[in-house]
Amino acid sequence: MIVCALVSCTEVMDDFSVRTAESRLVVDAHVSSFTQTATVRLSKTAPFLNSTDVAYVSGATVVLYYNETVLSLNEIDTIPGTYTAEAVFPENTEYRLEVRTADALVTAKSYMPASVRWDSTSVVIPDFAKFYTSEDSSRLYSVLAYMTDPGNQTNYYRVEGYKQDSVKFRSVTDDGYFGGQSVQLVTSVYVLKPHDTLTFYLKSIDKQAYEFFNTLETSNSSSSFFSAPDNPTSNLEGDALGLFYAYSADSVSIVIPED
Amino acid sequence: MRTVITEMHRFVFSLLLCICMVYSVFAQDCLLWGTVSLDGQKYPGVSVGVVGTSIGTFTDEHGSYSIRLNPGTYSVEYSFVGYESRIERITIYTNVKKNVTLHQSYIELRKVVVTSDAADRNVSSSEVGTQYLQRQELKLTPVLFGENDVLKTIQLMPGVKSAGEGGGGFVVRGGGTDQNLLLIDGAPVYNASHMLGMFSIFNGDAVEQAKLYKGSMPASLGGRLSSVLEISSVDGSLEDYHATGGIGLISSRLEVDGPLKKGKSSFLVAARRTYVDLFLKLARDTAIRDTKLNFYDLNCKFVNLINDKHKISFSGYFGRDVFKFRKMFGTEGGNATATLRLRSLLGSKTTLNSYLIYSNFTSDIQLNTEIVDAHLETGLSNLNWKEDFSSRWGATTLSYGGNVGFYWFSPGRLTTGMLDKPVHLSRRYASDASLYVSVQQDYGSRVKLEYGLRFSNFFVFGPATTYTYNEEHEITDSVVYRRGELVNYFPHVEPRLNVNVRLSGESSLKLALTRTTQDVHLIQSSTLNMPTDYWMPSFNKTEPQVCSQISLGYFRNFKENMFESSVEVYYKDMRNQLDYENGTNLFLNENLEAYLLYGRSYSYGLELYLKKNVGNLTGWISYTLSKTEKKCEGINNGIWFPVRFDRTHDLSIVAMYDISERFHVSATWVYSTGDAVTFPVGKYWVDGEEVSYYTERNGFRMPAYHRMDAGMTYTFKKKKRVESELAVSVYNLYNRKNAYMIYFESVDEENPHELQAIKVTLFPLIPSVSWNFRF
Repeated sequence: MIVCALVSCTEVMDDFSVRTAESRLVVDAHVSSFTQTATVRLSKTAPFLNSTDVAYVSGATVVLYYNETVLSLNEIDTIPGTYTAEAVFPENTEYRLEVRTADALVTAKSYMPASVRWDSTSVVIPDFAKFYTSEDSSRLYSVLAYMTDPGNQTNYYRVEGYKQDSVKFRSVTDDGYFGGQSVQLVTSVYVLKPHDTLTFYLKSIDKQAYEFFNTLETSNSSSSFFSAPDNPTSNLEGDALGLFYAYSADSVSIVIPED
Repeated sequence: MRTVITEMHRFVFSLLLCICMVYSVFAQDCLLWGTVSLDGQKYPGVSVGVVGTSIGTFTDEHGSYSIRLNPGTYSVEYSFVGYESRIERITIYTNVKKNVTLHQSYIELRKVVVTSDAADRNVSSSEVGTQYLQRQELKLTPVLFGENDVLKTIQLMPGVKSAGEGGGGFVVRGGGTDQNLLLIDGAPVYNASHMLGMFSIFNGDAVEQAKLYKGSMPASLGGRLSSVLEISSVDGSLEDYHATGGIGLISSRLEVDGPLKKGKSSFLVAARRTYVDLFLKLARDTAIRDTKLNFYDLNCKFVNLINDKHKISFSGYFGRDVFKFRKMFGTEGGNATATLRLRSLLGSKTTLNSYLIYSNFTSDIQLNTEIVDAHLETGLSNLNWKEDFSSRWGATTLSYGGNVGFYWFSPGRLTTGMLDKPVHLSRRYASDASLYVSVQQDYGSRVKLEYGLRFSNFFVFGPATTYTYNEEHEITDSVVYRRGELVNYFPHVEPRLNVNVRLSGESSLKLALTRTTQDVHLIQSSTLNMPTDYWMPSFNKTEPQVCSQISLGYFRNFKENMFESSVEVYYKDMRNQLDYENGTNLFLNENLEAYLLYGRSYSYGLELYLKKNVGNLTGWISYTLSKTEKKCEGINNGIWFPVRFDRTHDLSIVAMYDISERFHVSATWVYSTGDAVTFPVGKYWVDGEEVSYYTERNGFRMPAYHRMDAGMTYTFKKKKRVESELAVSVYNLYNRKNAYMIYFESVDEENPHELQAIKVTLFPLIPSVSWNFRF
């Protein structure tokens, strides 16, 4: 691979094309005790190479069921295809989503586990940071975040890192290697400057959501060396692509210090 | 199930009984028999031919030959690669024994070499789908970085396809890269590549011959589904000391051989090392200067002729790949093999080969930074004891024997300061035992039959724990086995049948039926040879892979074997082809069995081969037209799909031309249909992430692949005993930008949803030069 990297080169393929499949309904839905919102986006699949015009699905009926509660989500007038509701959503609870469009009925279930908190964070300048040079004060930083797995059952986590508002990092894991242990869960290297703020979210999710994000991470790329490409494993029932997941979360922010 | 196996055993033993009764058919001609020695060494593959006729044969692995002739006087020619041919005038009225010794001829080496395979072995033998590659063919074929490479040269043969540009992995007749058994002097090699597949571990200086069985492996061999590649290493000379070596751009090599006791025992030591990292010493940065990036390997062989009837040899291989970037990151791993072989002549008709074989493969990855420290170890060790008998009565040869092997699998152990305790996959302990019998018989001068049976059993022992899983992959039950306790066993019955019908002196029609099984499986996380790959045995839910194959071939030689040609067709049915559920974590997954899927594959094809053996221009053209598809519940909605290496057309042209006695040029051109790949046909967004949408597995094709390589060799005048040559080769002569991978990226940042395809090309035009010597 090292030799490959030394001798390989890239070239744009001007004559490349792929056929476009018949468009399908996409449900992108989540409910969170952390943000106290439920959001459902309904759209259609877009052409792969040129998807500037995404078709959103308006006029649907979207209902969320949990415990004894039935909650309707309303479409936002200014954002077609987006349906939301706000509430105090309880943890350790199963949620069921029902979406009715003009020609489809889609349902899904997701369990919201109890939240797990970050223990601590730290910032390190790695030894190899000297290989990165920049004209401004940017340099390579390793940002570490620690948590302790409850260990009472198999837990699933989705970790997201943001610099200001842009996503820098996403990953998903179960506790198979560290059940019940303290673990350094985020070990990413970023190009940052002093005073930059990084925020990490530790989302506790259920197994179905883990499988979706895990298959998205490992198998969805058509240029991966490591697996044959495939669609992520969805928990939706009905003729639709996408995911509905419930999550609890904790967040922690780190400000990059002066040297 | 047990009833079926019992019935199968009955059938098998009945068949064996029939075999024993049938093979007492003998012809009534006179027998010319004896041995051929090469500088005192008995050798297989020496051509013995009756001049002016199509009658001929080759010596077996003990240097023995026999030909049935009508009474009369004949000129019999004995010839072999790099040795002066010898013609003997022989009058025969009864059985005659004739032992012959041939002597090496360096000056004519190249010419003799190319003619060595020119007799009608391809027509007369009963083998179907078998390819030979001699040492000099290997040396004359231009390859990447100028490194003679048996694995890359074998990919130029019909039915054999590369598993990726520059890589040593290959697929045979639609099989997988892990379905090829690679043997070096009988010892299995579990990772045949250096530097993630760039180079094979087989040092060209130490390789005498490569023989690839792709259609009908003999009953004595088994354990892999698709092919067996037997590499024979060179014996050291019993008469003189020699040194052969080469200095190239990225590696150098040296081979030394000679007698330990003249005419009695010999040694051979061959070593090779790359020195990419030596150039890194020139770097200013200490981190780069201290980086290690190399591989090295060492071959050795010791031979001792105890007496006329016993010969003992020891051959060994040790190789390592080393990459270390300061103390932060490093990988190290490789193979070690050892073969102790005793060959005995038991009376005048029977030979016995006894083998004690050890093979070991390890891989080690270390990561040691401020943020992560980790150490991953994987490996596999294998010890084998094997006895091969071969008895010959006239035109009938009976081969029989057995094998007992032990396996120690270490699929992975991860030690890291990030976790309180190490993560390790359970070790696996297995054993296999096999018995085989094979009969090769001539029925008159036209029909040659080879039939045999291989019975093997693969045992898995404790300590081990087996699990039962529900549909959610959760463990619902477990059984713990103590050390040495039998966990599971997998009996196999593998029949073999080869038929050769001689249509004329220069043509034959051949048929082969074979069944093969495989109980060791490579858990491969990618299409490259990664240090994280590991081997696992058939276990609780991991079933053996099974293949049935039928091959039919027409073989025809022209102009007194100047040209040989063949047309072969084959059909393979492969069961229990391992695959995994989407998103399965292959890395240190103790419950991997819960995610296994079993598929079925089929492959059929047409293979054309035309080879010119003699003259200033030699070489071959091979073409394969084939189709390979797979079906697996849980993948592609259970619908048949083409496998990645399903290349409809695959063409190789190899030409070697002697401009003069000292100046030689060679070229190869390869063309193949692009790999079957999966591309998205739409996309959507979930939780802010872009998701590619697929409708079918491997429904698209990469662009067609083609490339030309060229080489030339100039041999300098011999000074005293020293011969030397300058070899120049160019890989990818016309700088074809073959697509190694295609990925997608935004056309520009302002329009992130408009994508363009980017082609990654691997090797541009790469020249190389090396100076080789021999004295």
